[in-house]
Amino acid sequence: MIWLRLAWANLSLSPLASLINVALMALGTASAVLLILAGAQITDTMSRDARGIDLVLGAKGSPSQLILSTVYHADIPTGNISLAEARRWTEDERIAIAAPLSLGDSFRGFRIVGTQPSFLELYDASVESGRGWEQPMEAVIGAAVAAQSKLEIGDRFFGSHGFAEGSHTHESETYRVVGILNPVGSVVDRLILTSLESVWDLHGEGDHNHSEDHDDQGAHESTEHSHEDHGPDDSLASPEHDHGDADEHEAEHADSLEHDHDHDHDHEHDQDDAHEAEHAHHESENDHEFEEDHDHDHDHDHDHDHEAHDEHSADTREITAVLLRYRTPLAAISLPREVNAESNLQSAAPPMEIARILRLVGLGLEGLRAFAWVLIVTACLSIFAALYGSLRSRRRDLAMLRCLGATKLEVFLAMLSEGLLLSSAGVLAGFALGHGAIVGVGMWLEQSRGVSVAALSWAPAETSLLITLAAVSLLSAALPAAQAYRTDVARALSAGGA
Amino acid sequence: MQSAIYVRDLVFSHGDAHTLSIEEFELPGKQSRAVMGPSGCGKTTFVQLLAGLLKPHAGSVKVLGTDLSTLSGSEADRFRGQHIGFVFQQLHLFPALTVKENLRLAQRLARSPADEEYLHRLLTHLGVENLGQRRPDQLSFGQMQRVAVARALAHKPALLIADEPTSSLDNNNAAATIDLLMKSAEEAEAALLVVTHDERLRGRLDGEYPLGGGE
Repeated sequence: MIWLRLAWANLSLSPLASLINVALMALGTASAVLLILAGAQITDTMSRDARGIDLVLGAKGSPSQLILSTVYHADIPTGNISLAEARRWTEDERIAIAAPLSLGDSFRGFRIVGTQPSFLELYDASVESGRGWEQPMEAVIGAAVAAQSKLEIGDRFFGSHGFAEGSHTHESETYRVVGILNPVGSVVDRLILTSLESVWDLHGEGDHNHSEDHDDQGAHESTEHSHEDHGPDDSLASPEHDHGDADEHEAEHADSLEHDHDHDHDHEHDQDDAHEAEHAHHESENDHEFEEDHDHDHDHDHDHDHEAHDEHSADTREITAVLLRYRTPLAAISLPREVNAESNLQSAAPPMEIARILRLVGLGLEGLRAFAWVLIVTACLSIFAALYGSLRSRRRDLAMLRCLGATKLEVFLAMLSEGLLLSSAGVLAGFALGHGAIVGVGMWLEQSRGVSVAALSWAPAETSLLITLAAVSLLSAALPAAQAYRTDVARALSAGGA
Repeated sequence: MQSAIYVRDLVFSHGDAHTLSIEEFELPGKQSRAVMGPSGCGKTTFVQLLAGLLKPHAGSVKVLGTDLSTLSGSEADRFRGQHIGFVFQQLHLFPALTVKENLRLAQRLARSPADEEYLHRLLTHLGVENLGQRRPDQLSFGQMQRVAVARALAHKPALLIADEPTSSLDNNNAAATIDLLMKSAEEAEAALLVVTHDERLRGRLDGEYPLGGGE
């Protein structure tokens, strides 16, 4: 203790310099801790969200984009795929679970996913209160959605077109909350699940005169996007819509009453590209009788004949993607290759894409990590310089310590204590800052996005960081301490004596 | 009574140019001696030989009956810490520590049990009992000198060595300082060795030893 007391007393003689050294070390450590925790959280979250999904089938394009859009719900989809073509693979004996997805809308930033109950099975999710969706426009919301949006069972809400908040709303029909999911700690918490028909209906509303016949809504006359000349062949293209012109919309709407599915999708669209791409989904096909587990029983009155409609469109219904779980790991060897070679679909395996994405993210993290180490090395050099500088002025003090009976080792420890006190304070402050920052970001993410972050958890890499920091700190303090150890007492004292 | 210091046939040299040679020197216990000589005659070297910080090339240096040349480095450190107190011209109080902490450090390094009552008595005896919580930069030179003496005696050594304690002081302060050292050593029942080139101290201690033949 006496050496720590002496070290503390010596450091307190020059508080500003000591504070700067501690701050430097704290900043470097905090940066490194922050990067480790962020990297661990990203890896953990990505792995957790993709757990149980072996393969994703979607439209050709970037496999990373396909995974990001359909597994993480963090990007726009690559396009639509034919339901018939997808079914060829979902019914393959090598598949244990298949969950089709229809994307395109959101509510307050939470994505609305048209799917089937197999989706819950895929994610080990279950309904905590209420029940699962049975009819179109019934929605089951994730735990985070419920917490953030304050939606309760029985509440109704409008879906917004696209994935960004502020997009125009589908005011022709409302979703009704019929169930709330258990929190599962994955992306499911942040999703709104509904039937495939809901999405198809909503995006086909221009073709089906919903605005005339839906009697459970009060806002049917609102600004649906223009569905002028929809056609099945255009569903994978980026249609151009003009969402801003109500008059034009009404004219288009009138056209849609004719149920003409050979629309031409080249009308104007003044939204951004992302919106356009999002728009690619479900606006061309309007099948109201998808062969799902439950009957398609609209509680509103469509003025078209589903059966008749199905006859001419059964082969052209589209979805966004299908999430698959293999029955056997051997499927991983053959199925992806077969899909890519024998169909117009693209297959993407989440583990491979996660690795690819993490490599890209990792490059950025590596750069930042290098910067953090520059800060840490600077801090160590600064501590080294401070201790080495103080050696000159304190050579006689060290000699006096020896005269009072201190051994060389004790003098070494005295000097080492000072360096370690500085670096320990900096490292501790850095770890506190790093975790504090993650706690702050975690609270913000929890409140704004419903993403849970384990801010106080200790990442294994932090132990390595701590050991490395201890070694570097020890080295930076040990060099001046070794000089102190070698202090020539006779010379130091004679400089001030006879 | 056992000699505080006994030196016989001592030879120590810094290369060929500087050689310290002492045929015989003795300081009996509880007495005082002045080792006098001009600057550069090897007085500080002699102090370091007595402290066990240097080892003689020939002869023996015994302090309190112990031949320091037979001790290892760390043994010599411990011996010095326990049995010898030092007062230097430059004082060398630790600037970061308070007066009390300076004294406690001396006790701690001597491996003596903490004795706050003794430290208080010591400070009271030296007239600086109210300065215990002050740091050296808050003291006058005279006060610092008293604290330095107190620190040298904090662990109750049997030998007090003062290296040039009066060289930068005026006559009054030089006289006061030497009085302080003699009185303190007497109170502590310690032998006192003053190494100095200050001619004003001639005749003030129990005996004198001229040093100067070695260079």
